[in-house]
Amino acid sequence: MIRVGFPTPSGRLPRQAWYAIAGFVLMAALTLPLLELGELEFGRAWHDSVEFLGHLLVAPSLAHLPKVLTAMGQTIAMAFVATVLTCVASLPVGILAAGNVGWPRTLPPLVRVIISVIRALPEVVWAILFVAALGLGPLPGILAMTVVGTGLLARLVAEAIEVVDPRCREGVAAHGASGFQTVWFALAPQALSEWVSAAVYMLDHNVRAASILGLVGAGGIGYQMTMATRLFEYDRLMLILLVMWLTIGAFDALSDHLRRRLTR
Amino acid sequence: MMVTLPPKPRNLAPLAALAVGVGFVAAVRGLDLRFGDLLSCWPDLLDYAAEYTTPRLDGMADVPRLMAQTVAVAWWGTLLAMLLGAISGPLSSAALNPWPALRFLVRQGQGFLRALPDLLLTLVLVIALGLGPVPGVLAIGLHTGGFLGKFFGEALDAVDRGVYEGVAATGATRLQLLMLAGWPSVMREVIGYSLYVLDRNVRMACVLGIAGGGGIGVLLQESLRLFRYDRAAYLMVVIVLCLVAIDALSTWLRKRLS
Repeated sequence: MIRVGFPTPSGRLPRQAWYAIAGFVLMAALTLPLLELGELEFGRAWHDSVEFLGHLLVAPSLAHLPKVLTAMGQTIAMAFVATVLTCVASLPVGILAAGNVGWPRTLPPLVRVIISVIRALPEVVWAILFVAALGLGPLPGILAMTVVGTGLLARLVAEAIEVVDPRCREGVAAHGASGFQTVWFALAPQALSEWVSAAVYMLDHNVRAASILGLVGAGGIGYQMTMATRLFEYDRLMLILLVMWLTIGAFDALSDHLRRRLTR
Repeated sequence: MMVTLPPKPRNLAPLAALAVGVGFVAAVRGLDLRFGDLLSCWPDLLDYAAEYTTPRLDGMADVPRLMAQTVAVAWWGTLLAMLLGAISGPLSSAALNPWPALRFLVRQGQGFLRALPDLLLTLVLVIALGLGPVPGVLAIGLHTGGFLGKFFGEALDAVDRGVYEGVAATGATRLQLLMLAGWPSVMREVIGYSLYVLDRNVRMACVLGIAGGGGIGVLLQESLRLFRYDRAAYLMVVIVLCLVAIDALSTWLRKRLS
């Protein structure tokens, strides 16, 4: 429990706050030399930045609109497929990772370590690996998102199952339910609302992730953006930024709205 | 005796499942995905995976420095994000900002920053600032600043209005309201969200090098371009170990705080 002794009677900041600020500043000062600010010539960087921002003051080119919209649709489709696969895969994996199901004692911790290692690497790294193995296209991107998403969602499912009252399981088991039936009828329904809410969040998360993946050759809007940047086509870039803002913003709002209704 | 039952609640689950199923099939068709390829090409996949089994670490003297640079990028990016959040959060909160037009503008701005993925933002900023960690810091800071602004604003809105009224009744100005009623009430959320963002930023900083944003990602990108999967495997082991260590540290910190 953080006791925030602020505002203090004397009007000054409490001692803990000073410690925290000192730690922050110390860490910032220690890491500052690593940012290679010396290699950045401020005069030139300033000049380049102003020039660059000037380039951005163009009207979005409508000529590229059909292509960009197709790419955005591809991105959304990738995110959707990955989300569905994630939801399907995360239930069994999550149940395997839960400590109160009655697995051998070493199994849940093992599954947890595996999914936390999977989660540790961002989607992009997985996408690079899968692109190298499977070639360019949406499939490696979808696999990358599914792998990371399963790691995220399975942990949530496991946590939702672990807080289930043991009496629920006893009640179902008392009717003569088999091991699988106890899991399916006592534990899984309790994790369901958590699972649906997390699934909606995953869709939002995956649309963002999918728009990045084009950078490493997994298709979608990210590829369009990479090309526009490499070719210095600023009007195309502005169009892409606009489309991304509207689309991702819409998914953001949708996921907020749905989750607020689900958790109410 | 006639028993009148309450109306049966509508069960929308089958309808939702059907919609998801149809959407899934349409998306798979539209993207021309062939999951069968995964089964038919598994010998190739095993060959490919075998390349990762012998991590070699020649020419990797830069690893400690670049890993430290990764943490530096994440740290400074998080500082920038917290600064952006601390400024835009109160401006986007209905409890503290009485002007709806300004609130709307600030919220749209935050949404815009959230919508730009930091990896792609790095790619764009590299045009102006050149390769190196600085565009990475800016990209991470701007993107997560949009998130922190939204989180801080929502936390400030969730505070009991009585707290604000109590302080306002003493004749406090708007800034005093924020400093003496707003921030102290949401300190826990602010610390929690900031730690979460720092955690996420360290992960992201590991891959910013792919777009030219400095950090360990530079080496990873180089290794994969040169098909040096042995080096890439070693780098990934290093990255995972560092991330797991940082994860443990932040879990410990959070546990101490709550």
